[in-house]
Amino acid sequence: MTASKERPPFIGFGLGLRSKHYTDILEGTPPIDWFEILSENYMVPGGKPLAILDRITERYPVVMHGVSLSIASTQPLDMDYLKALKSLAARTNPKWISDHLCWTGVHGVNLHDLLPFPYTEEALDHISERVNIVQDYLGRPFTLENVSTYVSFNQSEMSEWEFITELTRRTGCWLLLDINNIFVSAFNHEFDAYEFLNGIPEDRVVQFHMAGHSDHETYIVDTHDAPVRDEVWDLYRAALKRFGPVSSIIERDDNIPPLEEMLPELEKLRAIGNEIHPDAIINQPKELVI
Amino acid sequence: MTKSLKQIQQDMQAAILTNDDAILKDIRDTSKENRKTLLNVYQYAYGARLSEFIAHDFPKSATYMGDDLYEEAARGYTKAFPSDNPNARWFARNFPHFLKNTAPFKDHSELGEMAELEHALNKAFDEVDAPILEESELSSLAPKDWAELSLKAHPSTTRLSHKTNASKIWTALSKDESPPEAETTEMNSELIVWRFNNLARFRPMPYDEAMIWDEAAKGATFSQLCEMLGTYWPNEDAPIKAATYLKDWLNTELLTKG
Repeated sequence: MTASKERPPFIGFGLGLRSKHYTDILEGTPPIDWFEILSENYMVPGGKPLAILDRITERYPVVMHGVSLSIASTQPLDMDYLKALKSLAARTNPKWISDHLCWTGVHGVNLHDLLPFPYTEEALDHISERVNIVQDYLGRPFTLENVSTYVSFNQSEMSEWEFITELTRRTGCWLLLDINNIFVSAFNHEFDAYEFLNGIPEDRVVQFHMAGHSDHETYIVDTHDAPVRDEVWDLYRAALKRFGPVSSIIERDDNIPPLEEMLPELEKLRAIGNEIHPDAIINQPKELVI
Repeated sequence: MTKSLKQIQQDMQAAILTNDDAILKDIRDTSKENRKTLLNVYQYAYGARLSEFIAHDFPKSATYMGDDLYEEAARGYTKAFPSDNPNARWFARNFPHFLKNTAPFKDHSELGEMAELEHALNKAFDEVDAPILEESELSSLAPKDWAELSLKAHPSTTRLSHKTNASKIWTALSKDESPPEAETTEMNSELIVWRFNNLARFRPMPYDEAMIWDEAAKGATFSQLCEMLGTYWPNEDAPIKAATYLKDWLNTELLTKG
């Protein structure tokens, strides 16, 4: 196992990079510490996406966040995908690379969704082996994110947080906690979101995601199309208290407002972070042009 | 015997792709909702998400078709071409082919041709970068080298030859104007699609220009292109015409270094 031993740095408060905001970012000086880029958006041969990305990475630290690794799938790892991911990382020099603790398809089909699986010893063995292969291959800090789920399985032998804890213990992978996903899954599967938080090791979390969701009364869907809800902000506070200063972003994937309308929510993220950890120092090895 | 992870994933995928309900017995009800409704979150999201991917890549085609016809096309395409690539960018790449070969869409040639144009624009947007051939690099060529000069199209380029006014419909929709009635044109519309200043664009090509562009792409030399233009223009004008087209290709980043 060659998981990165050194904990990735605290790089402050950022946003998920979205094409709608390119101009405002590159022509202005928005108070954003870093960007999370969606890896697949830039796993293209060339042209404007990569030209823009190069300009962004000249000015801001980035983290690469993928949706297609399918770490829990029982079909073989897609080495072509991993090769393209590694090549993009060589271009962007991300602080870490993340994807989701889920599967996206089997038999050569990609369902383009973050699908759930039962939390079993069998799954733990299978995924641990694959995480080790991915970490070895990428040679960079590798981070897995908890997903929102809508079904749970009779076969599960442990809770989600027990599964994640054992996975990081076995592999040394880092964790990206999506605070909204914890809230959504807690509601959908009727567990205590704070019990989840308290079940995760204090020293493995390097990033938080914050996002909005849609309430369907009997279940909640993680839609990323609305501002963060109050209950999720409360959970964020608790997470900061447990895990220390953790690099955080606001994620918005649908109904994306102009950048200026996203900044107050980012400032709230920063204000809560500063309130709970007033002495935290943002590690910015790259000189920001602000 | 406990169902394996592999079997659970196969059954879950079957539930999403074909509404097979074998997975239901493995899923828990909650105190608030039954398992069928919860499973349906994934089943619904699959169709909705892939339909969004297609509309993202073919926005004017989707608008032109209207909601009902587009949804029929998206459902049909998703079933005929399940995604086989981890990157959603490539999921809808066969959509023009689907529209050209599947009823009722194939009976409206403008649908397949408009999708073909949008596909070429998408390709132009993020096709591989290649060094642009500059005018200054040709200015020092000796006359004998000009005769043997062969040209190489930039990888972002696509040549299209359309039987309908699909490109005019696309242009009207892109300006939020009412599109013209679809029609089959007397002569084909020759188009070139490419990336210029990092933007995907297209323009019509006159027939003589399209002819020499296509021949240049096959390896014809500059002197051969001049000869071919002699079929359209008086012999003494052909080289001037060829030089004019070449200058425009160079100025608009259509060519790459050989």
